[in-house]
Amino acid sequence: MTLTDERLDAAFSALADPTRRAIVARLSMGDATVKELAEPFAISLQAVSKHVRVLERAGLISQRVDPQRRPCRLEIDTAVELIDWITEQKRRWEGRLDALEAHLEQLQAEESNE
Amino acid sequence: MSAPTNEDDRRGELTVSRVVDAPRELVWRAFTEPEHLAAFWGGPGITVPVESVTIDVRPGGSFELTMVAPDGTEYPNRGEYVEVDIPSRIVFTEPDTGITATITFAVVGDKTEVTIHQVGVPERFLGPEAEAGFAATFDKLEALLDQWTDG
Repeated sequence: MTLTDERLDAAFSALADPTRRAIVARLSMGDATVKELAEPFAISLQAVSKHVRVLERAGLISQRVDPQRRPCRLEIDTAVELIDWITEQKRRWEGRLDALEAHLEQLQAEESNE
Repeated sequence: MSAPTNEDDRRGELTVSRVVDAPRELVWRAFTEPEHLAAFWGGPGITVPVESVTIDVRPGGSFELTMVAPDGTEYPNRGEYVEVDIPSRIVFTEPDTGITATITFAVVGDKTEVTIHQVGVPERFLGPEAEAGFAATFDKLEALLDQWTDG
């Protein structure tokens, strides 16, 4: 697991807002400026900029120096890390079940030998 | 072994299921008696010293154990039992991680199906509205990841 719990919390917390999820969904189809991101919403550029900053702090997107003209980009590494984290949790349980099966087999073999 | 469903991935939750070749009572004992839990809880490569295991299997009770990695690093693991329904269901939370796991044991002929459903992110992110949002976001991310993988 490479993503710390703190960053994971920050990422999920940022994604708990519907506007921010829409922004992430839009960016998953390609880079976009703040102006382009604002178009589908009935909210101001300033409000969108604020959402962009929250997503940026959570490590989900990155942005060049001038937010009005420079495109926002989805940080694929963070997205991959989120998915990796869930995959790692699954692997842990699969490993446990592998060991459980081996243990149960051994137990029953011992019982039938007694 | 059955594959976890994609729908679970998208909610930030996960399900793992396995039919094991043993009667349900024995599988129940494996999850609730220290000598047995120590034998498998670490999974491959990670040992659990049996003397580190305490289990008080009742609602409000807890379990504690120490997992030891091959390099000797110790990882304490503690859970609190929320529900205990002998011999078919255990629900526990890990206070350190915010994880809640439900383990069910179902009779399948002379075998037992063990199913783990884990809520892998803190509860506050998992309201119905947030779940729907995760679904949409993960859909898009998965599509993107597929593109990256193919390209």
